[in-house]
Amino acid sequence: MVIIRTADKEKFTVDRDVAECSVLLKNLLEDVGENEEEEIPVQNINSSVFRKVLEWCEHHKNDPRPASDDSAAEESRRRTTDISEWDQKFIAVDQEMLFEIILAANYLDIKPLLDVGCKTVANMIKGKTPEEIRKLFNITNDFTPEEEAQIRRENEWAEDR
Amino acid sequence: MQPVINTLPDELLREIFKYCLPEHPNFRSEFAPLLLTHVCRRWTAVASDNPELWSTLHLNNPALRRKSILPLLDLWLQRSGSWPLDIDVDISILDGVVRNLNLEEYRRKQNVYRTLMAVIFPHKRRIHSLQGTLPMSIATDLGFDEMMSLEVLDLVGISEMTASSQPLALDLPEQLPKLTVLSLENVGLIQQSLYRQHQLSQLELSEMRNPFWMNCSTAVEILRQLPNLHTAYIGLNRPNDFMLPLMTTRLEVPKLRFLYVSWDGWDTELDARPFFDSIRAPKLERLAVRGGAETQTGIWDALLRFIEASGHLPLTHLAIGDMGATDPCLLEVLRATPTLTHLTVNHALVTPPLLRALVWDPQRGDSQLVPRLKSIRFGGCEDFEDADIVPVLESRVSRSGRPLEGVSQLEEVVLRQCAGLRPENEKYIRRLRISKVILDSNETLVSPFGGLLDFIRVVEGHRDFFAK
Repeated sequence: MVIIRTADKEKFTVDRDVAECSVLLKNLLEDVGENEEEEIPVQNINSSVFRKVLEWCEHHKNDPRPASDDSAAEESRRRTTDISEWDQKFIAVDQEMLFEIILAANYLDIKPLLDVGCKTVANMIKGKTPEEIRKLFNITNDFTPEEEAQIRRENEWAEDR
Repeated sequence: MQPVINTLPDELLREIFKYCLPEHPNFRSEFAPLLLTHVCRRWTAVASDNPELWSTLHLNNPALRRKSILPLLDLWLQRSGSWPLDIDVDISILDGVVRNLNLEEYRRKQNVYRTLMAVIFPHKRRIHSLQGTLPMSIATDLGFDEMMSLEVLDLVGISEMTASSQPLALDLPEQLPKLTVLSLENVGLIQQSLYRQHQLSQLELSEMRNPFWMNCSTAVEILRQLPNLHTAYIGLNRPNDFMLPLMTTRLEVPKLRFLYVSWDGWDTELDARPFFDSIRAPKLERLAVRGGAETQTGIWDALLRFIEASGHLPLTHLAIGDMGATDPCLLEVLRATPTLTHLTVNHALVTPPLLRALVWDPQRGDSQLVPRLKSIRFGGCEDFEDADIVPVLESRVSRSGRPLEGVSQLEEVVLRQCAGLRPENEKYIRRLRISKVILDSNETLVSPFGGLLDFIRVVEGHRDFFAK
């Protein structure tokens, strides 16, 4: 077991194999060795998000770890935006939590969880018009009139004959 | 207040954008990457500054239906920066023209495609892969000089209504050091330019249009000139100049692991024997042969001689297609390949004696055939019945779930268009402990001309054979 302390000072006692889903934690744990008393701080993550990340790690702790330099696997991951049923349920959260999970997965270096988050956002974007995307994410249209004109030109080029 | 998505740093927004790309890249503004640049200034900056998003170009007839493809193509090429380009072409000049035989329209389309290629040419040093179908006249326009980043060249030539009598041939004017996969179908290729590509590891040549390609002596010469090949598909389509054998000593092909040879020529008598009598491939793991209508009976002897001359080759996959009689020839081949795990026979005689020999019977001792067999695929074989195949399956499947002694458990049985299977026995076969069972003796397909086809040609193509 290892003790991990989040940004809001909450302590989590976690199985080592669950913690090692994170490349960052795995490296830190290698540095502290077998000293189970030592707390590992994760400064950028709050307890509510970390709890959610741990839920994912617990479920996926026996998955094969992705090789860091496997470009073919990387390419294959990118070609598909399929998400497993369990992961879809796991990631069905509000936008704030979704982006917090993505940030946490990136910070903790949990590539498969980062993929799930990014694919989820990509699936939300696909099939929508720019206006629908703005509405979904509460984004302001901040294009200048010149930029708007350029967009209109590009739309026209891309129209069907 | 800042939108939550914009709390993500650029690197994560970039990561999300990569997953937004459609399965088949296209130029329409409803799809990424163009869509992403029309949302807000930050997204435009992040998407435009991510060359990977713009580095795959799909040039096909729908792309040509954009109102202005050239500025779009410019946009993609500019934003892809110095990133390696993957170009898929799927161009049919005859689309919409053949019905009217309108030569003027045909020439107009040809010019449009040539203009597109001219826009891409300045970027050819960074082309990583070029694949697809395109007319012969445009294929030969492709200048391959300077394509120093090219790793994959996979082209199918489309014959044209105005094709000259002199076959057009591709030229690879210098060694392309990164080119490892070359796959060509229905195009010509200048022979010497192929021989410069010593580094090739995968070569697929099908329906080559060179005047003397592809006969056995060319095929052997290719293997001699390209010693690094580990995968080769050779479609023989020209008769041989002289009688077998080609050489007194067999050429050793040291690295070849996968070999597929077809001589599916219906208009000419082709003979693959000189090819198999001229080489040895001691590392060969997969061998597929597919004959034509006029398969010579002697091919089996040549195959057997090839296998024996190759020594104890580690063959795991053997696929036979359109090869006429198989019994007892196939038996001899199976005796010589005890490492076999996958056996495919399509449109060739699979007779009861052959199947009896495949029944695993520990009493027979060392005369047993293919103890490691895990997969049987028979297609279009009409000369056996349930009573012949069922004992083979029963003898190679554990009833108790415990491992069998001396023989591998069958994991896959695929029987397609094998007329002798009765429905009640199909049920029995499905109940055996075999992980994958496909039985479709009554498979039918809808004919493009209406009605149902009651006969389907079963073919295992080279791509499937190499990939499985």
